[in-house]
Amino acid sequence: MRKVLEVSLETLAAIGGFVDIGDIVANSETGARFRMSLAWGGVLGVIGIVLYAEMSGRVATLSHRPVFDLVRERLGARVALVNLVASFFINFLTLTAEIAGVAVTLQLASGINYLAWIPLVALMVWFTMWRVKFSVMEKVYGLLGLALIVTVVAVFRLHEFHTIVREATNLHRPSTEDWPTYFYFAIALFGAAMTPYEVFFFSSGAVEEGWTRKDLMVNRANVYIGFPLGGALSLAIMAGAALLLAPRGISVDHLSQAAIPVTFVLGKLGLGILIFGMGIAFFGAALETGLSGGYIVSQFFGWQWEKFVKPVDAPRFHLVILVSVILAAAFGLTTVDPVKVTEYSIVLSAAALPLTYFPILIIANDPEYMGDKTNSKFSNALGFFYLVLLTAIAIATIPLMIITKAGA
Amino acid sequence: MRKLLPVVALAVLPACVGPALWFDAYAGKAGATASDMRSTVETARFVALVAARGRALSPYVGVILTDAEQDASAIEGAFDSIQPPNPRADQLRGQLDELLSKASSTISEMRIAARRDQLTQLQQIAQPLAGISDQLETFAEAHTP
Repeated sequence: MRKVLEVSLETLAAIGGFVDIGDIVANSETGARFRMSLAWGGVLGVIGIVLYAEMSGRVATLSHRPVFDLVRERLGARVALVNLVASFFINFLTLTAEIAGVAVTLQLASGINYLAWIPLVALMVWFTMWRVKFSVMEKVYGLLGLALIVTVVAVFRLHEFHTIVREATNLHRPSTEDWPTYFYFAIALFGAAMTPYEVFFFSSGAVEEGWTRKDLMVNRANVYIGFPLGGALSLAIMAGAALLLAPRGISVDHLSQAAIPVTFVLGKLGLGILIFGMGIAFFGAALETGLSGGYIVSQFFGWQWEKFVKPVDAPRFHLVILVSVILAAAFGLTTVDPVKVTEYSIVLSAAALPLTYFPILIIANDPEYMGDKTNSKFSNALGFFYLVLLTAIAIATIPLMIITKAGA
Repeated sequence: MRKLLPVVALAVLPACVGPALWFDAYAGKAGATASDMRSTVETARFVALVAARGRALSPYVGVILTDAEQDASAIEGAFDSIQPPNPRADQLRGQLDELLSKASSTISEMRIAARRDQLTQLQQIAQPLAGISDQLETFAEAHTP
């Protein structure tokens, strides 16, 4: 019974912890511009993250080594250093966007400019990473993030389910958009779902919590149930924008606009719950990205990195986190647009994915590490398909960014 | 540092407003500007509707209208900074500028009312935006390539 409760809690936390500012921005923007015609991009991303997060969790559990440790071993120090620089930069952009995102939700609730909130949010993010236990942090923010279910409720209250399904299953490009822009936004949705920090955090978390073979069930429940249901929240955000913003010609340039559909349908209570849910989701993601930055740098250089050891025993790990948070807050305070930072971070994420996911696929097939838990033929076929797709996306992203003027 | 310059240039490029050397290019930019402003106008109208029904929190309405006001001002400023290439373009500029200016000032009035917690008056203040939105849509359709 206790195990069932634990698995249920972990799964619920995975649902609530899945959505971050990238998902909200990408899904709102595409819903408003492309209605549901790009839903496949998000679905493809969710299947990809399910596949590779399960692999990385399994690899970390059985090898007791997190992903970036293995990236360095398999790719060699030089290529891994390229991956480290790219991943750390994208992680930094995401951390900036999440901290600024929390500040914007506080602005929506209070009316006080978000710039005034950034230092306080950064302090709270750092303090939580410094003091709060990993397991408590992960569960509390994941569970509170379930408030975002309000987006699903709003869509159901619109009674347009048949329209959503029809549009989502009818693959087409709106006549107002060209193909490069269509694919640029598909990549944005894909990148928002498959951000590298998720596997860095997930696999490092498996080592932090000392997962054993018995915990593989928790791993599977997390990714097979939690992630797709988290992805459903993202699709609900897209659907709300498609049903209420697209017909009015409203394009989403601010987080405040992403909240209009829920506000229109559910009123003040719905808006309050949504603002709370978004704030918690962004805060949780700020913790994940902040920790991920510390994890990957420490794992690359072979420093002590676990959160369960005292900070004095992992000083360089905590220093990387502290400096990252300070720099992210400083970048946010330059008045850089949080939505633009988010857009760049998710699209660049998509470009950097192969370097992270390739080593996972290799290790997941190595019986020396995995024993009898190597990939099935189906996982390998799907994993290989995604690797080819990720490589194609990595090649296409920057040219598409230039051609479309970043989706303008 | 030199190696980084192309990367920085690529990142900054999408934010730049390029020059319009001939009428068609100018008209295309005018059409895109009208479309962007229409999105801002519709945001303001939709929020006014929600606020009038008592469904939105006051700080939220203030923030969204402040964002809309800043967007409107930025759109207007960006369009005005484009050099019209000939007298025909001057005429187009005048036509669109009038719409942009009306939209901007109406949204500013809405922001002032929202900050004073006069949410019920928003729809009345927003009334001119309906006509402006239609005109912006017609303009955008006529001039978007």
